[in-house]
Amino acid sequence: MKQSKLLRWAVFLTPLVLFSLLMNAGPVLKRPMGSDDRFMAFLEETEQAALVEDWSAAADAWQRTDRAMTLVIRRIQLMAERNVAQEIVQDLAQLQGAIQAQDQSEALMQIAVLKALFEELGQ
Amino acid sequence: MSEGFVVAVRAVISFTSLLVFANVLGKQQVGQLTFFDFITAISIGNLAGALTADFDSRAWPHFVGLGLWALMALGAQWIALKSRWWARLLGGEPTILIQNGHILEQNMRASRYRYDDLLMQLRERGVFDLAEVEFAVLETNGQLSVLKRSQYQPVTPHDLGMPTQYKGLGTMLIHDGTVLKRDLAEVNLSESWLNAELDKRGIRSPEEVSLAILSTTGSLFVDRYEDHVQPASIDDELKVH
Repeated sequence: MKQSKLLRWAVFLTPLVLFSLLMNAGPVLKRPMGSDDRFMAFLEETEQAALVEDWSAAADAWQRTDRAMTLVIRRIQLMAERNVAQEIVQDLAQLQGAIQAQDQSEALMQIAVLKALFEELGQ
Repeated sequence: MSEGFVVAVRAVISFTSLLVFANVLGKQQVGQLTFFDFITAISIGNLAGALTADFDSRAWPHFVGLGLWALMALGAQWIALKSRWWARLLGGEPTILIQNGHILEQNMRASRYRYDDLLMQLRERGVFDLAEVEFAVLETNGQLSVLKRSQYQPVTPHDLGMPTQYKGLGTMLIHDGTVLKRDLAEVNLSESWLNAELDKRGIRSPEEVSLAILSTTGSLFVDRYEDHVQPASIDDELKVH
């Protein structure tokens, strides 16, 4: 009787615990797990290139940042807010525009916004 | 972001959580719910809906909200078991609407209960004449309990001094073609006895049986899948009568 009660509670609690872990896995799954998904590192590279106005290097770094974001969003889509993910995608597009226009202040501003949004994503 | 996939996973989380919370919260029927229970159920359902389909916020806050509502409802239920004051606060109190055959207008007004409501609920209880009612009590779940005057109450075997047999609850022995061995053992009977009983009815295997129940008087009710009865429609029934 006692064993069946324990089993009943285990059946109830196991899915709740698993769901809690899944829903809070955002900060862990956001971390780089390979060489292509280092979003923050690539964003830093873009920032460094923008600071010295090396627009070709900035465009290359942006490509890697954009690819990394696609991988990260795919991984944490269950834990992330849609509007934050959409804002990141939009800001990445604006950053691309700023790099193409060789507009340093706009590029740096977008990078700062992207850093803040990435911090918020899935937290 | 694949919204279909996210909705699917969130729906599984929401559904499973609701299943767990509903099981923990108890076995009250919808008809037994107080107004507070009703609001709680709606709020929990609303949170489960948001957990499934509100993409602009994370699933976790909704899940926490859902869990807290369920936990608070459970806590409120538990305190209500211990404290009568709390139980009254939570579910209200029954209100007497008819006392000794007199309608208590003040209580009717306080309960925002109309005469039409009273007459309707009396009719639902099989009372079409107010003169038959001794007491009518509006319960906390909105149901009306009616005590008829003694001269209008049905005669029972007890009134007539007639002896009656113990009825009790039957024991299910076969469900959906499967012999319930544990229940069979509880009534100290064996599968060979059951097979012999089925054999007497021309049934070769328990798999032919949809339901078998043993009554406390020892009679076995058996329903087979093959009924050999032509189902009649309601229209046919109406034509006959």
